[in-house]
Formats: sequence, structure tokens, C-alpha cells
Amino acid sequence: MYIGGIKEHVLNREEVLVVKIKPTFNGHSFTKNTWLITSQNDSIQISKLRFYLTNFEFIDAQNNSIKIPESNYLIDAFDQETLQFDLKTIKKTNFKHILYKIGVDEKLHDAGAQSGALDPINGMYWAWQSGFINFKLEGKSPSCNTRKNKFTFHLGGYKMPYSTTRDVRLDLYNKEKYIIIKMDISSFFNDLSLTDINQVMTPGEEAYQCSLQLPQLFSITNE
Amino acid sequence: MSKKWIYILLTGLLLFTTAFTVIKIKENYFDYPDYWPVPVYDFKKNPVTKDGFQLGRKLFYDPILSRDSSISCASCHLQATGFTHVDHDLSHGIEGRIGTRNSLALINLAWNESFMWDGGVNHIDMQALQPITNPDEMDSSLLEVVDKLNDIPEYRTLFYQVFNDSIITGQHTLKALSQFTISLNSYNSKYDKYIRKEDHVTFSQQELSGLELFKINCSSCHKEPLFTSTEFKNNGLSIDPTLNDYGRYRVTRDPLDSLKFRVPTLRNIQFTAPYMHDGRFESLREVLDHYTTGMEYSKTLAPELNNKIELTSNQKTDLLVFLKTLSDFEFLYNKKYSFPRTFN
Repeated sequence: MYIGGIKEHVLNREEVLVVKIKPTFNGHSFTKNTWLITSQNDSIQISKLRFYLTNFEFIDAQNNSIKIPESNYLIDAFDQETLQFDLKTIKKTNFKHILYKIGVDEKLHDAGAQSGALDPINGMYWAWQSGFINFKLEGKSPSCNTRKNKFTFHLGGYKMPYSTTRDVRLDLYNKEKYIIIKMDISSFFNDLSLTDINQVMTPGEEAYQCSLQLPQLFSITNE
Repeated sequence: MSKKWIYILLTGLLLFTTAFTVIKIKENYFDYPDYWPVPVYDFKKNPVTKDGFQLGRKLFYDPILSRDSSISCASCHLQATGFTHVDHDLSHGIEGRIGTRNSLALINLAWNESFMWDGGVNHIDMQALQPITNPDEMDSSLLEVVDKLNDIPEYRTLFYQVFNDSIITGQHTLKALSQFTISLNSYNSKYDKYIRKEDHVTFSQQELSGLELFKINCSSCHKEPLFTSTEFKNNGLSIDPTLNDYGRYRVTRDPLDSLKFRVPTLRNIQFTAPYMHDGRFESLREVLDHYTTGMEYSKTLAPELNNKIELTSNQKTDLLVFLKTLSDFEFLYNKKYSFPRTFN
């Protein structure tokens, strides 16, 4: 009984899976306010890149789903501390897929004040029109005919048809201790001309369209 | 008479004698008449407790919430005027800054599905974020407020008592404020006592006539017993070119919502002047004149107002006399809600 108890305990012991987020621009790491060139030939500097990754879930070889409760993370591309976090899984197995959301679960946008990464203290919640800002991207570009050439993308909105929370599903092929998720922010600008669209700060059609591009930013990498 | 009929008669008698008298005491600080609808607010997520209510009350009256610690929630929401700002058409902020809308009365908020004149705020927890961060109001941030609170040992103790955590968070600050504001229930006006047949309260001929006129002309939007339908309506106000406020349209971007604003409660309306989202009317007489002769007809006008409201001068007076029966002095002067000189 005693030995059996220990055995069971070992088998069901919670294990930790480390997730690393690697922000890149065209595959290269970048720092705050360095000059970058988009595929649309806009020169840009990125000063802020903050976004939520939430509702992590794994699919194992037998197609079982393992959901990680309350897995809500606020990522800041320029804050190293936010680029790595531990997911507590029941038991580490050979997972085939990782699933998560970019942005906060729609159900939590009107559920009152939340805690941790979702605490409105983090400046990712709109005051005048309730709801989380799922994704913030700010910077400058000479292509923007705005005050100080600034562009501001605050993507939010949780009501249909303009929800901006996006699902991501990625294949896992490495069996390493770490899962490294690469984020290539250059893809955000692939179909976006900064001359035409540079200020999105309300829920609606524009924010929704911008959010459709977000899942393409993420991939699994070995590096 | 058949047994069935006797049964129905007896049940009716029973209802007649017991209903309209009992006040539900759901929590220490949250009560309402048992014939009212069930509140929208989910108390399971933030149960109102004595300590939580008192902490919220302290925060509500504390200017620490504003950037320069000069104004508190109570600066624009005064108890004696139904928790709104009497005599000011638009809300005020720090350094004498002026906002774009008239501050709303804080009454029976647990029945609201959304907040603000345009319903832009979806939960009472999040309501406080708006005045705290609005540059024309408190011009601060939740982070700044929480940092300041964490520097005060008294607050850390109080938060620990309520939330079992002496590190003050944004979530707990907002939830504490909610525990106070959600409890501001008004249900002891003369009208309420008349309905409940309490304390031998009777209505005068004028009040009775006003109530009848109210039921015919006003109650489709200002529904009893809350005196609001909690909907958004265009009530025929012309646009103020200095504000260009299209109300709910700003939130939904739906042209059908253009010029629609929250239907406010009429409880304590005698004391919540000025009236309307931009405080354009100083007296209730002006409000009635608007509905009878000042209406601007447009595509989104409330269907309830398509038929012209006609009231004689005497009828208007009767209606005004009735509206005064909605004043709840037990609410307006209840020490439980006032500035916390001492707790208890």
C-alpha cells in the first residue's frame, strides 16, 4: 500500500513544461526602437509590443486534450522576464500539438476585475469601452502621416462578429524540455500599408481584420 | 363555490397580506424589496461583506484615487443628491477640468447590465477605471492608485481583512469599490411605502393623478419599480454642437444607436438636477416641457415617443408632485453610506 502510494504519486506528479517566446523580425531578434523595414518597404521602429497568450492546451499521441487551467500570460517583447513561463502539466507525454489563444478568452472580457496577468493594473484593459486589449503594437514610421509619425495598434473587442481573440494550433516535433515559440512580427505588416492604416484603437472591423493576421506570426522552432 | 375557487381566493388573500412587506436581507449590506426583480450582479464572484463594504466606502471617499489627491468619487457623486453632482451640467475633474457628460446618479446599480450613459462599461468592477484614468476627471491610472495604497499600512491591513492578501492589487481595489457602490439601494421613498401599504402612507389626490399620468406617459421607459428599463433610447434631444455626442453609437458603431443614451432611474430625481446626459435642463419642469413641446424627431427616436405627449399645465404639476414621492430620505441621509468619519 505504502509503496503503491508512492508509485502513484510519482506517476501523477505535476511536471513543468517550459515555454519560451522568441520575438523576431524576419527571423532576427531585434531591440526596442531599432530601424526595421517591412515587406511593404515601410521603415519602422517598434517601441511597444505587448500581448496576451492564454488558454494553453496540449494534444497527445492518443488525441487526448490536456488543458492547462488559468494559463494566462502577458508577453512583453522587450521584457525578458515575460518571455519564459512554466506550464504545469499533469504528466508530460509526447505531445503532438500545442494550442493557445492570442488574446484573452472572450468569456473573461465582461466578467469583472480579474487577477494576475489579467489584472487591469497592467494597462491592457479599456476604461471607456470595457474589454481587454488583446494585442498592443506601437512605434514610428515616416510612412505614417500622424503626430510624431506614430502608429498605434491596440487590438481588442470580444463581441461577435468582431472578436479579436485568435486561436493558434501548432505541431510539436521536438521532445526537448523547452517549447520555443517563435514570433515573427514582420508578418504583421505583410498585407498592411502603414500609410493607409496606422491607428487602430477601437473594437470593430479594422481591429478584427488586423487580428486575422496574428496566428501567422507564431511558429515552433528548435533554435 | 368549488374547492378550486376557494383555494385560489385563499392564495390571493395570503399573497395580498404577505407580499409587498418583506425586505430581503441577502447580505449584511445588500437588501431590497422581495417583489423586485433579481439583481443582475453576480454576488458569488464578489460577496458583499461588512469589511468589504467599509473598505469600498473608504476608497469611495478618498481623494487618493486622483492623480494629485484632490478629488474623490464623492466629489461628483454626493449622497444627499442621489450620489450625483448637483448644479453641474458636466462632470468636473482635477485642476478644474471639465468632462463631456453629466455625472450619473449611483442608485440601485446591481440591476444594471452596463454602465455609463452609453453603456460602454460592461461590469461595475470596471466602472471605476473610467473616472480614475480619464484626463478630465482623476487623470491617474490603476497602477498609480495601487502603488499609493500599498504605501499606506492602514490600507494594507484593511485589504488583508477583506481579501486575505496584504499586497493590494488592481482587482481587489476595484472589487472593494464595487462592494460599496453595488449596495447603494434606494427603496424607501413615499412611493415605495405607498405601494407596500407601509406606515399608513397615503397619496394625495394630486399624487394619485400624477401616478396615473406617469403610468400613461412615462412608465414604458421608466419602468417600475426601478424606474428605468435599463435600455438606451433617443428621447428627442437636439444635438449640442459644442459636444457632438451621439451616445451609444460611439460604443456599438451601429447607426441605429445614434443619439441613444441610458434611460436613467427617476428615483430621487427631485435632487439629481441638472438633467439629461449633458445636464441641459436645470429643472424637472423644463424636462416635461421638452417631452411635450421640445422634441426633435429623428430616425432613431424611441418608438414610445412617436405619439406626442400632451399635458396641461396642471397635469404637469401633478406629475411633478408625483415625482417627488420618489425621493428616499432614508437613502439620501443614511449614515451607512456617508463619509466614513468612523467605521460602523
